[in-house]
Amino acid sequence: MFVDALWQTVYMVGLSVVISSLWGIPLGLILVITDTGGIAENIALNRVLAFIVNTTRSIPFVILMFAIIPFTRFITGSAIGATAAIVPLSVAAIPFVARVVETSVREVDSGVIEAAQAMGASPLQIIVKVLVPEALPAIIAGITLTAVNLIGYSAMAGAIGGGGLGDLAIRYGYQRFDMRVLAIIVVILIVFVQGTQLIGDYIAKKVTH
Amino acid sequence: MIRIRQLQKVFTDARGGRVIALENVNLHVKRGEVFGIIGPSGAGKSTLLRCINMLERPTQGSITIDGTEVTGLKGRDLRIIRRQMGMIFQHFNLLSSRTTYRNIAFPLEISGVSDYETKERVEQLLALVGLEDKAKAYPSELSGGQKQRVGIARALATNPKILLCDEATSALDPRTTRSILGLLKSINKEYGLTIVMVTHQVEAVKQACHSVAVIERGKVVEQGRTEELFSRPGTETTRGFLENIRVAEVSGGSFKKPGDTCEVQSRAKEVIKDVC
Repeated sequence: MFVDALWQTVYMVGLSVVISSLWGIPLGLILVITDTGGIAENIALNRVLAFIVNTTRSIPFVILMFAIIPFTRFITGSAIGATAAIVPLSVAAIPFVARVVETSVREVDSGVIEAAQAMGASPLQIIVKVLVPEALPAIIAGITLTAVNLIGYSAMAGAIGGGGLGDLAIRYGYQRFDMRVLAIIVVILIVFVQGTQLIGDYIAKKVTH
Repeated sequence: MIRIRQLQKVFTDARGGRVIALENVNLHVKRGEVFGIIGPSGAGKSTLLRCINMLERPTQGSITIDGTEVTGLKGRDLRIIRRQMGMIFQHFNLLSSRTTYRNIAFPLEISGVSDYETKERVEQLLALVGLEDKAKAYPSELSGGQKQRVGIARALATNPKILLCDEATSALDPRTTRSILGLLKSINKEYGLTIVMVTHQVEAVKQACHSVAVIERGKVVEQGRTEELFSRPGTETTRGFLENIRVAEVSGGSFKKPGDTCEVQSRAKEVIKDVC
C-alpha cells in the first residue's frame, strides 16, 4: 500500500519536474533576454510572458487543479489518477521554474556576457555557452526547490483522486481517522523531501567551480 | 589601422536626460602601435574603447578599422569584425564554469574551429602566457595576475589584429601590473599586434605605450608620442597626472586614483620641494 503510493508520488513529481523544467527553463531564459537591455530585447513579448507567468502563479493550486480539468482531460483522456495529476502539477510549476531560472540567469555577471559579445558570440551561443552554464548551480538549486514544492502539491492532487501518498493520507488517515497511517506517510514524506534536497544540493555542488 | 573621426556618444537616461560621454573625438592608431588612452574616472575613455568593437554604439561619427567602417555593422558582419579584435577587462570576465583551457578555447569554439586545431592553439597560448600547469584550474583557483593571463590568452586565441585593454591592470598590484604590461609589450613586438589601452595609471602608459591620448570630459585634450607629451605636457590634465606619479615615485607608495588627488597633490609639492 505504502510502496505503491510512494511510487505514484515519485512518478507524479518526477515527471512534473521534467516537464516543468523543459518548459520553464526556456521561458525563464526568454524572460531575461527579451527584457530591457537584454541580448534579444523585445519588450512587448517580455510583458506578455511576464503577465502570463504572474497570472498562473496567482491562482491557488487547489483552484487551478479544478479549473483546468477540461484541459487535463484533453491531454490525458482522464481527469483522475496519477497521470492526470501531472497536468495541473506541471502547469503550476512551469511559471515557478521560469521565475527561478530568470532570477538565476540575471545573476550572471554582465561583464562575462559582454566578453562573449566582444568575441563575436551570437545570441544563441551566449545563451547556450554562457548564460546556462554560468547559472547552472543556481538553476539546479531552483529545480530542487520546485521538486520539493511539487511533493507538497502532489498531496493536494490526491484530493481529486490523483493517487500517491497524499491520496493515501487523505483516505486512510484523514477520512478514517487512522493516525498510524497518517504518521507513517508523514515520515515517508519527510525522508522523501530530505532525500530530494540532498540530491539537489549534491548536484549543485558538483557543478559549482 | 584604427581611424576615429568626429566621434560622439550621448547617453539618454530613462527621464530623457542627455549625458555627453564623447564629443568630437578624432584619433588615429597606427598598425603595430601600443596606444594609450588616459584620463580621470568618468572621462569617457572606456566608452571610447568600447565604441571600437561596438559594445557601445556611437551616436555620430565614424570608426574605420583597416578601412572598414564599423559603426553601421550589425548581426553577422559585426560578429566577424569582432572576431578580429581581442579584448581584456579590468575584472577579467572569465567564465567561472570553465577551466583555464576551456576559457581560452571559448572564442575558437564560437568561431567553429575544429577540436584538433583548438587543442594545438590553446597549448601554444598557455605556453605564451606561462600557465601550462594551470590548464585544468578554474578561475576561482587563480590569482588576479593569472586570471588576466588567461584573459590575454583568450583574447589572442583567434589571432586578432587588435587588442583592446579596458583598465586591464587596474585591479592588480604594482608588481603584477608590471609583469602583465611586460607580457603585452612582448606580444606587441613579437606579433606586431596593435594594442589600444585604456587606463588611469600613468605608470602603465609610461611603461608600455608608444603614443597616448589624454581625455577629459569626453574630449581629447592632448595626444602625441608618449615621451614628448610627458616631457612637455601642454594641459593641466596631463600635468595633474604627471604630478601624481611624481608623488608615487618620491614617497615610494603606490599611486592613487585620480579624483581623490587634491590632498595628495598639495602634499606632493611639499615633498618634492623637500627633496629638491
